[in-house]
Amino acid sequence: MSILSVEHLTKIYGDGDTAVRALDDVSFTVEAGEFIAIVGSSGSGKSTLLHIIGGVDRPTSGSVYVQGQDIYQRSDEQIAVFRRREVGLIYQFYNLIPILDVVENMTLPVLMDGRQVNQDHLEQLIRALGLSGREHYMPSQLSGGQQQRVAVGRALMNSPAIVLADEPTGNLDGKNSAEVMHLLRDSNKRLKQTLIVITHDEDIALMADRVIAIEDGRLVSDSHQG
Amino acid sequence: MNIFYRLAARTLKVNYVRTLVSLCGIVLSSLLLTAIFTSVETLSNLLITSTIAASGSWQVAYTDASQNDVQDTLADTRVTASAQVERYGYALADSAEEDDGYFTYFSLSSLSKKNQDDQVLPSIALAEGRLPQNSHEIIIPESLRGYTYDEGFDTDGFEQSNSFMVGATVGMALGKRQMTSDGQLIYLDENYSVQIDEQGNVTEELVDIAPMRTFTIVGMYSMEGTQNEFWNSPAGYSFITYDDGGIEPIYSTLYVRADGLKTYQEIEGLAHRFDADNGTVSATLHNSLLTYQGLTEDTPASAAFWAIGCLLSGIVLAASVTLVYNSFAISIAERTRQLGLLSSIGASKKQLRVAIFTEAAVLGLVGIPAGILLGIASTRAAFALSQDGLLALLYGNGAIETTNASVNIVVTAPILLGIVAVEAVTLLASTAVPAIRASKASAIDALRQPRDSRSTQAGLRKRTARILPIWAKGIRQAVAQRIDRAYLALGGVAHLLARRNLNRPNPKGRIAVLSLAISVALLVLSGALIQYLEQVVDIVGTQGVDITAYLDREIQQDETVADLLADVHTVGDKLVNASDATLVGYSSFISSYGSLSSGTYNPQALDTIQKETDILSDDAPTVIDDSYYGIIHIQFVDDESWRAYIESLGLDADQYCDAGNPVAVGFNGAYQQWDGKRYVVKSFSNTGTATLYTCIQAIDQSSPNAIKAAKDGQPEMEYYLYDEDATVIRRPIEDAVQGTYKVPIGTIADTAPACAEDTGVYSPMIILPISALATISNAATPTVDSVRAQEQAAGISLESRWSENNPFSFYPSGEGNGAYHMFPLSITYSFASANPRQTTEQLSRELNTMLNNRAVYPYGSANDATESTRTQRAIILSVKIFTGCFAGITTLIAVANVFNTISTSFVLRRRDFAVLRSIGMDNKMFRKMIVRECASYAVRGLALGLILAFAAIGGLLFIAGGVLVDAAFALPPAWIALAALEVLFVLAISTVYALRKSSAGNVVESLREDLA
Repeated sequence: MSILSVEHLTKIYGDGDTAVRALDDVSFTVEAGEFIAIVGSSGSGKSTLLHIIGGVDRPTSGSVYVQGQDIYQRSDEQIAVFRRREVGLIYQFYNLIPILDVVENMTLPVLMDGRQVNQDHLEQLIRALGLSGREHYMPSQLSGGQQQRVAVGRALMNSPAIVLADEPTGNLDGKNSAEVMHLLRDSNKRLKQTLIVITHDEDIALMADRVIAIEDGRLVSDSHQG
Repeated sequence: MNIFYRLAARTLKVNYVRTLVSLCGIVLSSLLLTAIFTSVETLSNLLITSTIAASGSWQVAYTDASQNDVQDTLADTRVTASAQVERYGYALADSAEEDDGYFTYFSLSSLSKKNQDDQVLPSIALAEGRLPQNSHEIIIPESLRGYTYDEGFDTDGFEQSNSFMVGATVGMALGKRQMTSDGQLIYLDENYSVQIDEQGNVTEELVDIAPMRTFTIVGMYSMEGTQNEFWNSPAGYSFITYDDGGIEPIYSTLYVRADGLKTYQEIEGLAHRFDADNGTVSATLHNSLLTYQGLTEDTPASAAFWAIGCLLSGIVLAASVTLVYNSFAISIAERTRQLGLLSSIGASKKQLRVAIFTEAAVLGLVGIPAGILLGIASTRAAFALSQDGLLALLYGNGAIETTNASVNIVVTAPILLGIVAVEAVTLLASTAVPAIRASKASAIDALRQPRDSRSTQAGLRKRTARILPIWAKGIRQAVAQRIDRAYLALGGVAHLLARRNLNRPNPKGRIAVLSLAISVALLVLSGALIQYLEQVVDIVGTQGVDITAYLDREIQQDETVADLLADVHTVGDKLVNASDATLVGYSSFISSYGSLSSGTYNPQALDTIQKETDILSDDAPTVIDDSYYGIIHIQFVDDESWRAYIESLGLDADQYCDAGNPVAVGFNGAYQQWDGKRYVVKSFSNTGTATLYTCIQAIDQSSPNAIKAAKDGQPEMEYYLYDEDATVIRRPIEDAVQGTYKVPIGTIADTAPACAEDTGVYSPMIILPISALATISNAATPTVDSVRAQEQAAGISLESRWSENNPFSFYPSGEGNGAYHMFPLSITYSFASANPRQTTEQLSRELNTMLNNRAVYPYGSANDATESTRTQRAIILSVKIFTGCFAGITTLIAVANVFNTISTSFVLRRRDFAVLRSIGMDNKMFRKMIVRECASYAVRGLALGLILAFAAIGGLLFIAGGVLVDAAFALPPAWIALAALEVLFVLAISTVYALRKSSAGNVVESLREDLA
């Protein structure tokens, strides 16, 4: 069973003359453990696609199946829970809650669920993310790269079905970019974490198993790489 | 702890300024609500306690109750407290004056029996002596002091050993009063005065008369204000004795209280418990108390207080709702991205709402109890400070010192719980909308870059698009462009930007302006009210006179006027010795007809006062050949005061202090107060001679009323007949006036001696030493004697006002001419004292001993002149305190609201400002832009507030009609200035704060801040 299945996804903003087709009948499937890069020019609809997959934005028509479940058949409450547990989201900017510290930001999805944090898992992640000693730092005390690593940690904390990243390195310098991508790749290879990344960066696209190109809201190519 | 609770706590901590401001809003509104309703409860309670103090706590009284009735009632389970007063009957008496047609009854009843419940009946305040301790002792009303009543006519039912005074004895044969009316036999109770027919004969009779019994007067009770009203009889006099079983009661009155009855139907039920029987019992309800207890059919008086309380609360809650709503709305707007992020990570809508409501809950948990406690404390303080005024309002003048009542504030649990509930609901309501908005925060909108939600802008454009037709839009645009150009020309970019910012749809800004306007309106209204009240208080200078004592002195057989005056002087000393007062002087005011020599009187004296006020009729005084004819007032002052007065005027003592040849001072300082303005009546334009008419011919059944010019231009006296047509009889002056006395007016002065009473006169007034009174009287008496003899011989009845015809003649009243010949000399003594109230009491006591001898001193009383001023000042202070506090606190809430709105609106636009700076706007321009925006808030808030205030004042004037118009309910300039200051202040602090926050830091950092 594919971990993700997108069928005839369409998203239209506005109405009448000012209507914009952000997505136009997009369909594809993703298998567990795949690393997918989504590419396309600005305004092509990539972010929209990601948001819809992540349960953040409703499609105008079409369906999204995660682990066999049509996520948009659920209530708002259930979708929220879906976002907590089955999806990990990473953005280019503004990933962290400024008034929570590193650990709190990372464990946010778990805490929202009202469950106990697995301390071992947390420690492991912190070590892996190179954040040891900074557990109680506030975001304002971290560099851009460190903040992004916390975001990655948050995304991985719940061991979600899919990690979705929208230009995760867009705001980082070369070194930090490499570090973040290393972490993501690592989780993908070792932990079999399904990973979908929107990127402009060719190097990142090359890392992926599969590249999906979106243009004017349409899926124009879907190629596997070696 | 739940992560969302942690988030809420952190958010509050990080934005501590806004948290504090919101907290202040909640504290202040809880404070005000507590204060308002505690005050309402306290005032309602005060009405009840003051009524109980004055007339007891009984609710139903059963009169004419037999002993069986009493026992039966006491057995009724509804009755929780009772007091029984025995009634022993009446004695009838004829007043001491022969044939004056005045009869009265004396009723005898007991104090309530021993072991009666406290407070069911009010206690008796004694003016002298003690309470009776057996059934041969009585206390009597103080107003009977010194009087002697004739025996009961027809029956030997009433005797006095002496005039009424403590220690004297009284004998009474008590019976029941009854009369036959239309064939019916009715018993008369104390509500009926003695029944007489048209001829003046008594038509009632006394039956079941007990044997004569002697009582000793051991004390007197007074009737100051409402004191002892309960114990006195409405149509006669009430004597009170002690019930030791020595007298057989005719019937009893049972007073009961039923604490368990809560509705007026239940009370009525209790009152009607005897209806089925055919007995004599009738029931009375204590309506004055029941009204305040809410146990009558009408709406309880306290309902008015509650209505006002709710109205004020409405205002307060409106203000605090806007404050809290604004705070949270701003807070949410700032955190849109954060909320969007949380949503995208998986926070459910409910969880986000919980976060917001938790913030509100924390503020509530801290703010509401704090506010309530502060409210109770401040109410206590306000009542303590305004206690005097409240007591004065409740108990009338003199209450401040006579009552020992203090105002205890009433704090009840239901009220506090109610306030907590109301505040909680308000808090919930204020945060509900922002909370729902927060939960709806779409992650998408949040994560986008531009924060100005385009939807609102689009919405506005859509709305206006629908309203205006195209041509109007075109005009609108053209006008807008012109204004923009003007702004640019006048103030540069800064102003233009300010205007554009202000033109953005800004509901929060509008709310801030509104709350500012409300507080301005409240300040101005409070000021207008206080200003009006202060105008109403007629604060006239008392010239160092704190107490005045009035005394009438009846001339005795074989006493000369000189003797009389000597006694008057001695009394002055006696009064000073009996108290800690200092005698300022004494005076006697006599009005006489007379004339002033040509050129003495100023014919325009009354012009202004007649034109501008309604005090006088528009009749002109009679001036013939430049001579005044009419009333001349003479103010006789004691010789010492006169001497000092003459010296102060720099006049020759020899000339003015010759008792045998009096020389007067003309007084040009008379004034009247009208509508807050003083009108001076200058009667004299020159010195001259005053001719006093010391003896005017009497015309039967009439009295002289005015001197007018006859058709031939000569002065004539007008007499008014006591008939239905008010016929006027005219006599030429030469015929009417039989005796005169000429007094030279040596000088004219604007001041009078301090002891001169009544200087607010319209007719000309001269001042003379009191020794001159003896001189004038002695000169007048022979003429008066002979004229009187003639009139008697001619059979002229002396219903004519004898004293008006002969103001300078004093005859002992026993002279066989009836009451109309009793014209004692009226003296006013003026005293100064450091402790007026105490001194007044001492003087009263001394006067009372003199009044025991009414034959010599028919009347006397001491009066605290400073009292009403003190009372009025106290009342005004109370009003000031309460309105001031209310307006002040509401202002604070408004200030917090505006500060919040303005400062945050700038903080939110930090990035915009950074962009402006980055493209080259300097600090000065920047400041100008911000100040310009703030000024707009100021102007709008102030303008709207003033409009609201004027509208309210106008409405009040319209509703109140003529009552308030007298003292113009004018606009209070000082308070308007204060309101303007408030507005400026709040804007100043908002601007400073905003400037600090928005200009701080690196331009680049501000730009980037958002991106990180």
